[in-house]
Amino acid sequence: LSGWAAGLDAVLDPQALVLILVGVLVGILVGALPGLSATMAVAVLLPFTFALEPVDGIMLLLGIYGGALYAGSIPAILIRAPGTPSAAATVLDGHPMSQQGRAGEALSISVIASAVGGMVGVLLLAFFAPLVADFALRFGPAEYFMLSIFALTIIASLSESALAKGLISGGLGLLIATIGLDPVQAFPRFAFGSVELSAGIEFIPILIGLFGVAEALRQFERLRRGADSRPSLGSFRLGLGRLKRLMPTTAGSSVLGFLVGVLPGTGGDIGSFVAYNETKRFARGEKNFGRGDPRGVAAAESANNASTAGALTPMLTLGIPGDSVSAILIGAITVHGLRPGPQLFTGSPELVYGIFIGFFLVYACLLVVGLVGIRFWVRLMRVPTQYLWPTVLVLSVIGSYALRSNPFDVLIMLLAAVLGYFMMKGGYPLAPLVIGVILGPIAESGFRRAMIISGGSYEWLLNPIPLVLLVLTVVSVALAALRARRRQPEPEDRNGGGGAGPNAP
Amino acid sequence: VRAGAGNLVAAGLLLAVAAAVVFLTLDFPPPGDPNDPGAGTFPRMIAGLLAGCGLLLLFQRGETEPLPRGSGLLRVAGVVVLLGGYAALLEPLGFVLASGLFLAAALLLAGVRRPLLLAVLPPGISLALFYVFYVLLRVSLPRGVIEGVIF
Repeated sequence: LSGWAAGLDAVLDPQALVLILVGVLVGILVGALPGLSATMAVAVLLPFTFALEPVDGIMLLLGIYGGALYAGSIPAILIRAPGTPSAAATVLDGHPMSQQGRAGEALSISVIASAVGGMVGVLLLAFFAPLVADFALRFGPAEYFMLSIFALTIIASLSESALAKGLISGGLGLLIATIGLDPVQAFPRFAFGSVELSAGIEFIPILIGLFGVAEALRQFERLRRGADSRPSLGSFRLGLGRLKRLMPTTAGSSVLGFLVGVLPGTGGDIGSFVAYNETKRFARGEKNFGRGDPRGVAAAESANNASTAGALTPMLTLGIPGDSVSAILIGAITVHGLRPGPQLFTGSPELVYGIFIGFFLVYACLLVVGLVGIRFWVRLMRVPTQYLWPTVLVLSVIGSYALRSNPFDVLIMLLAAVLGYFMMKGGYPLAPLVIGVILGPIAESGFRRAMIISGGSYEWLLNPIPLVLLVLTVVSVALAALRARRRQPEPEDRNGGGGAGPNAP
Repeated sequence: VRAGAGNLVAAGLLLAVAAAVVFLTLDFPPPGDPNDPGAGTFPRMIAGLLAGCGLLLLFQRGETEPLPRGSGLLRVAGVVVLLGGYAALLEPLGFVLASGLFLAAALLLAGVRRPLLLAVLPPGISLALFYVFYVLLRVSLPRGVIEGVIF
């Protein structure tokens, strides 16, 4: 109970409450603009949190993320262009509703389902996270090594692209993490006599480069002007009967979204598609799905938002990022000298429980702000983004520079951006790279310490937890390889396929 | 199965990186503890993973987006060059001037041609950002002549 009291005390501070509101408003702005993803916004706006208290900073970022996840549905419903990749499933029924003159109804469902999904996700997070953290206190070096390898392989194997490309991305992240002092002997590796390289590569400039600047480069390539379309919105009202009919779908999809989100590498995009498909399967015989069924919008949006809370579970309890946004949140926490993991629950309870309470408030705020301003948010879509991208680049430079007051980090950001740009072009997912950079030191130090403790033998691999994780790792790779074989396009499809796929939720 | 040009280039780069990593780790010192695999083992394991996946790429069809051409290529390359220049000038000129110059050039690249916007937005945005980050949030940013006069 004292953890909850500390969390409540931290969140009910006026500054934290204002930051939640500001975050939600900024998030809605970002999400409503096609091209600006929720991950990009959180990465680029990270420097705003450097000077804030950890709880306040996380509240701002969670507000931005929650707002952007919801608002991504606005262009998805109105112009069939998801504002963030995780709103892709919303298009399936949201846009047909818009074409039938029921856009207002779809937008109202989207706000309510987003808020309910987020709240259910946070409640599940608050229930399960302390249990997982308690269990994780038993983890030693061997468990952390295998957990890192499992997380990385499952992220790579669940990527939209081929398994090999996901593994390459993760491998590059691990390799970047080896630059600098090694975790056991403190020997400077791959430093080439440079003081900056000896100190290691900070992962915040890398993630800003990958998720902020690389996306900006893509947007500069194909400059997008504000959307001109002004579809008929219809009524925004939802009757009580309609809400009741949507409740089972929303509740079920929220739980499903949370569970999918807990798996490393599965962001809102996968969560919302899984929930959409399951809702469709349960409503067997009904042919309205894909033709403007409100349940489709409710399922996609509630799962999308609930999965975010799911992704926070491994991040808070194990220090293992569940997706790219939780990787950024790790950055926001480590900037303050804290380390996510089971010890955070006892060492900084105000932060952990503050996140539970604050994230719930984010969705309460989203519900009110989303419904009150619903007619205005629709207009944001028409803002031409050509004025915003140069500012996004300046914010990226601030975020990279301000970390250590060193232009070297800006250079790292730029190199990461160029790498990320070519990776996106080549169909390589970006999330495994960032997560590899974070997991690299945990994996290497776990591996070497496990070897030292066991006297140079590999018998630690046969301990129960590492063994289970090893089996899961092998199974996830095998399943991904099988899936990739089935997906291999026929020769005549060669010209028809594929972009890079979504890289960020 | 024929690998696309993108996969061939990527495979070549990955094999080169893997070889370089193995070569560089040869000079690493021996471990202090006889049971410690040493500073070079983990990088070599990663090099093995990258080389293996690089070889796999040779047997996969490339699913890639086309690289930019013409004005798209110029804009992308232009932003990279501008960012490099921005990083180099950030400390010598200070945040406000370096950001103002960068913003003016980046807005031009983004297709903004209205003189009023080009005159007002760059100094306005850079001053506002400096005020918010440096003055309000106390985030470390390089100061130059303009910052010395105004703030």
